[in-house]
Amino acid sequence: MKALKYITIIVLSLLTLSCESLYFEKEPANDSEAIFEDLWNTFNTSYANFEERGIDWQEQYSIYRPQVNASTNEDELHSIFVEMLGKLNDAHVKFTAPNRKVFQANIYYETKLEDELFNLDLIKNSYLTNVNEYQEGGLVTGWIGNTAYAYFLYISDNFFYMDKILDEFKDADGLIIDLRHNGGGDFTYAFSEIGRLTNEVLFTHRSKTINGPTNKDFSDWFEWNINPEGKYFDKPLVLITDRYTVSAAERATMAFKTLPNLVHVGDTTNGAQSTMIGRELMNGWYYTICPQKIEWKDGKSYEGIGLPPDIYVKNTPSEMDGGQDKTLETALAIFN
Amino acid sequence: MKPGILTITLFIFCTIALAAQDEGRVNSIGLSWGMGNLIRQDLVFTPVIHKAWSPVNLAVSYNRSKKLEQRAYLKFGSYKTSIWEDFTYYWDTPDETEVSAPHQFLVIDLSYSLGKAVYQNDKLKLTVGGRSRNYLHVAYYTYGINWMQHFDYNISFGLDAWANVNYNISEKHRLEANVALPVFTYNSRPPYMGQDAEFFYNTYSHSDFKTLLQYIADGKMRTVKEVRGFDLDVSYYYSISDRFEIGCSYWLSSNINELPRKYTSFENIFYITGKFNF
Repeated sequence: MKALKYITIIVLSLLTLSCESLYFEKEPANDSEAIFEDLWNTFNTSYANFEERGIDWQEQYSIYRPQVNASTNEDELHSIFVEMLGKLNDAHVKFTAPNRKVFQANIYYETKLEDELFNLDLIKNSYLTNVNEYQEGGLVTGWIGNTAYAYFLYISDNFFYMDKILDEFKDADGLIIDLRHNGGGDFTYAFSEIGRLTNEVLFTHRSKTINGPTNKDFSDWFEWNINPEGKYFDKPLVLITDRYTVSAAERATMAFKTLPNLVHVGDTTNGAQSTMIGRELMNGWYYTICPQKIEWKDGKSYEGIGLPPDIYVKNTPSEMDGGQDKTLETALAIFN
Repeated sequence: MKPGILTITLFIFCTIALAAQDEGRVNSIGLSWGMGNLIRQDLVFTPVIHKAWSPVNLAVSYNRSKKLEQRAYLKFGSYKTSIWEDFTYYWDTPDETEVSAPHQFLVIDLSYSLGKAVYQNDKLKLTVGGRSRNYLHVAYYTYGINWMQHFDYNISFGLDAWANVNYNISEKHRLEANVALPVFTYNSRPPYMGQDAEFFYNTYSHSDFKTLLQYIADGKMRTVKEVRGFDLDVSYYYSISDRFEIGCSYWLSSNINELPRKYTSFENIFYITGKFNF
């Protein structure tokens, strides 16, 4: 019986080893230099927006590769990656390592720059009446006088309530859709659920994704539309965004901005609209990368720039301390 | 009991009872549980060769031996793995940590084999035929941050060449082996980078089932060069009585898929099995 056990283990081990060398692609090595090469090469072949962000990736190689050698330790390599990826200033580039702070390669999200210029509690306490919260705050609605207000914390199944809230707001003068500090999610939820806001098919944006071994190999452009569905909500609309409106929230912004009865107020969005995919390194570190180009309906890319508002307004810390949201008040003034 | 369930139960009972009156025991139903080992590399999502052991392996089988030999089984396995153990990370302050999550791999195989005995004597029976092999290999790759997860799928419907050997060692002991090789396959896998516009457009219904159907609809016929592999299983059975057998099996299942980027998986499972003959 013992012999059978050993034979089984030996046969399985041999089988496994021969399978690996015969059928699997060789894994990258697990040392500092190989890990650097793996990460740099993956960005070199699979990151779609160097041009849009004004980054010469080859130049980064010549700056950072000489800093890595066989004796580079984990902390040093981590610092090199943080510095190199930080150049991209892309909120969709995140770098995760065990027991460390997640690095977000975007100045707003990483340094919390102007984070304090939005406060939902201030709005709930100082402006809203008849407040309703859905999905533990994923959607907050209320009234400001006869104007309806809806705050979306993320883009996901909280948009399934859109039909319900439009019914509730049918007698409002108009609707404010607030996407400030909206961290994104899955933009298709927004696209599938806002059919009542349009009475015609509207082209919003197009995207193409890397589909080959270099970042010059792209799929064909895919055009995204919003389609009318259900009873048309024929009211003036105002969209509010800020520098923390990112990712799927920016795609939703692209859709909202195509509506002819909508005014976009606030600050420019973050500027990271591409899809984000994850990758892993042999030492157990993880990162995300963007393999997609996106153009708004005007044919321009806003990756690295952000979608600018029609009316630019930004809160100040002193106004916020005084209980005032000037951006929201600017939005309200549009209805008067 | 609901009328529908009662009807189905009665139907199954009657079928078994009628079959039991047939000459000899020609049907069997088996239930297997096993320890499995999965080795998997999907270059769409990672260059890492992931390996995992799991006790979550179940299989249900049905055999029928008359003029034609029929074999059907449904197999399920679930594996979890990551490069290192789960770890903590944080966004703003070290006091507010989150925990990473491992990758998860699910393997569902549904196969039906139909063949004819081409050689038979007292001890040995060799059957050859075809097998409809259908599988759904799903993975949830998680990249450190526990919500940074990608859905991977390898869905296949195909026809295999199939051979079965049954060898009666003695009155109570027997061996059985199956081997199957793909002839053609309809296969669906994610795009080159794991996600693209069509991938998201397919989720537009926000229904998991409809999305899965969309992914299947995006599949293509693949040649043996593009999708290859083999299935092999070897089983030993001991007859407890006229009706019951117990046994143990070794299953090896390989899958190599070249498009859009190479996917390779080898699954080894050791099952223990109970069979009811009727």
